Order: sequence, then structure tokens, then C-alpha cells
Amino acid sequence: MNIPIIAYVSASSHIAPAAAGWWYWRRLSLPRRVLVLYFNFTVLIEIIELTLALSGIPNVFVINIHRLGEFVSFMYFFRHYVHHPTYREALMILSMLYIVLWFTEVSFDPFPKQYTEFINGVSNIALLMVSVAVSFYLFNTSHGNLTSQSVFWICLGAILAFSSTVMIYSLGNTILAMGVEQFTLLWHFNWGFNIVANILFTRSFLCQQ
Amino acid sequence: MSTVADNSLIQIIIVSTVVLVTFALGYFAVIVAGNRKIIAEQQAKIDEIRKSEERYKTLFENSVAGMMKFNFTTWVVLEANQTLLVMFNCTTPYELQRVFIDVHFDSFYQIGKMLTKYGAIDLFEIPIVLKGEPPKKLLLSARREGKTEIAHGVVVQVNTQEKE
Repeated sequence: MNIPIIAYVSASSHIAPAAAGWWYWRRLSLPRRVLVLYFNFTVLIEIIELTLALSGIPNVFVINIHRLGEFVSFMYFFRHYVHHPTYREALMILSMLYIVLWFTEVSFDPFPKQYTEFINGVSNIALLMVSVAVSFYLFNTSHGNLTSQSVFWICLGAILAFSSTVMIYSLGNTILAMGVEQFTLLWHFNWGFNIVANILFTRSFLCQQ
Repeated sequence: MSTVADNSLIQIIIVSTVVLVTFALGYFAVIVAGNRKIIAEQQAKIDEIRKSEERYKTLFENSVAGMMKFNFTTWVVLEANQTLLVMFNCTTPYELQRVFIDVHFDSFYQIGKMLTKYGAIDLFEIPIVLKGEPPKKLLLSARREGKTEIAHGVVVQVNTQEKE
């Protein structure tokens, strides 16, 4: 399979928020530090995924682990910026529910050969909805300039990344069954918006709060 | 590209992804525009308050009547305009405060009691004698600021008692 250059650029773009996070580490609050750890974890996951793929070993289990890390990190981050008790409780319940579903799904087949649509699709849809809700909450409660807050850039990046991949992730196996050409064509959305999202995530670390 | 045209599922996925991303961007555009509008409104209100403050300050500074803001229990003068300072032959609000306490304690004790009781005082007569100057008669009207110990007062000089 001939991997397009954009795929390499997309994979490398994960380094930007990870590096920016380390650079500003001292001034970051705990939830932002959790995101930095997540971005570094993503870099590691990308390397493992690529190594396994080039060695011909199925890497779906790594993608699944990454999805759990992504879900928990973003939920933890968003929960910190929402002060309404009901919303905070809803985020906590949603996180718990996803973790239970993830372990249930993985317990049937820890090393699946096929792409796990359920884990990826549910995570994507849930994070997309939570990002939309948190950005709306911010708009209603914030008195200052939204663009000076890191959570705004994280929300924007998350909404772009998750909205562009929700269809692709939910129909992953169907797309793979169509052939490599179609898969590569549709995966351009994932690669392209990943780059944009990572730029926005990097921008978030330039904010003081 | 013929494969895309032939495969309706791919078309559906592409179109729905484009629609979703467009909605996402539109949603954020609305949020940013709304936030900017709110900030602009807040700024306009701040400007209005600042202008109002400036107008009040001009009125306060240039008034022919003596004006002051004071604590009627401790008699600390928080603000006083130039006219009032001249009336009492003082240069600073602190000096004025000393004059109130040292020279006119009885008058101001009564004023304090009335402001505490009624919340306002109207045309209270203060006879004053300053060193090297003829006796003066001043009228003080003041109003208490809510339930606080702060009052705003206006002082006018009604006549001089030079001829008496």
C-alpha cells in the first residue's frame, strides 16, 4: 500500500501540541497537563501503530487503547471547565459508561483483526456532542474574550476533528471492504482535519488561562 | 474519480462529512460573532460609564457650591471640591476633616446624629469663624448613601456677618 504524504504529515503533526505542552508545562493547570500527556501518548501510539502496520501485525488493539485514552483525557479536561453540577455529573456518568462499554467490547476480543467501529464511533459521537455542549456552555457563562481561553481552541479543534471523522469511524469496516483506494480517499478527511486540529490544540497552549 | 461517482455510499459519506464540518465551522462562527458582540456591548457600557464619571467630575470640580463626600461617623472627608476647600480656607480634604473635628465638633456631631436617624439633612446652619476672616454662615444639605455611613453633602454660603 502506497501511503500518501499527507498521512505522514498528519502523524507528525501530533508532535506540535505535545512539544508546545512540554514547553509551557510549568504554567499549565492540571487538566491542561493531562492533555499534554495525552498528546505525548498519541505520538507514542502513532509510532507503535506505524511500526506494527509496517511489520504486518494488526494494530487495531492499539487504536482501541488510544481511543480510551483520548476519551478519558478530553472528558477530564472538559469537566474542569464546566462548573454546573448537573453537567459535571453528566460528563462523569458518560465517561463511566464509555469505560464500561470499552472494557466489555475489548473483553470479547482483546486483539481484534478488524477495525472496532463501536468503540471508535461511540467515542467520536460522544466527544463531538460534549465539545459542542462545552463550547455552548462557555459562550453562555464566559464574560471575556473566548479566543483568549485555551478551552475554546481545544473545543474548536475537537469539534473539527470529531465531526470530520464521525462518519468514517462509524463505517470503518464498510469503507475498508470497498478497497484500499476508497479507504485512502476517505481517510484524507481524517489526515487533513487532524493536521488542522493539532494546529488548534497547539494554539491552545499559547493562552494563559 | 469514476469510482467515487459510481459508489453512492462514498458520496453519502463525503457529503455528510462535508455537511457536518460546515455545521461545526458555522456553529463556531456564530459563537465567536456572538462573543464579539457581547464584548462590544460591554465596552460601550464601560465607555458610557466613563463619560458619565467625567461629566460628574466636571460638575463636581466646577460647582459654585461646596460639595463633598464624607463619612458622617468618623468625619473622614473622602472627596471635596475646590469651592468647599476655599470656604473653609483649607488646601486638602484632610485639612478640612481636621477643621470639622477640631473647630466644629458640636455642629458635626448633630449632623451625624441626624443623618443616622433620618438619612438626610436639609439646610443645616453652620456658623464658622476662621482666623483673620469675618464670620460666615454656611448651609449644609446632605444625603446618606443607602445604609452606609457615607453621605454626600452640598454646602452654600448664604451671607457674611461682616456688617453685624
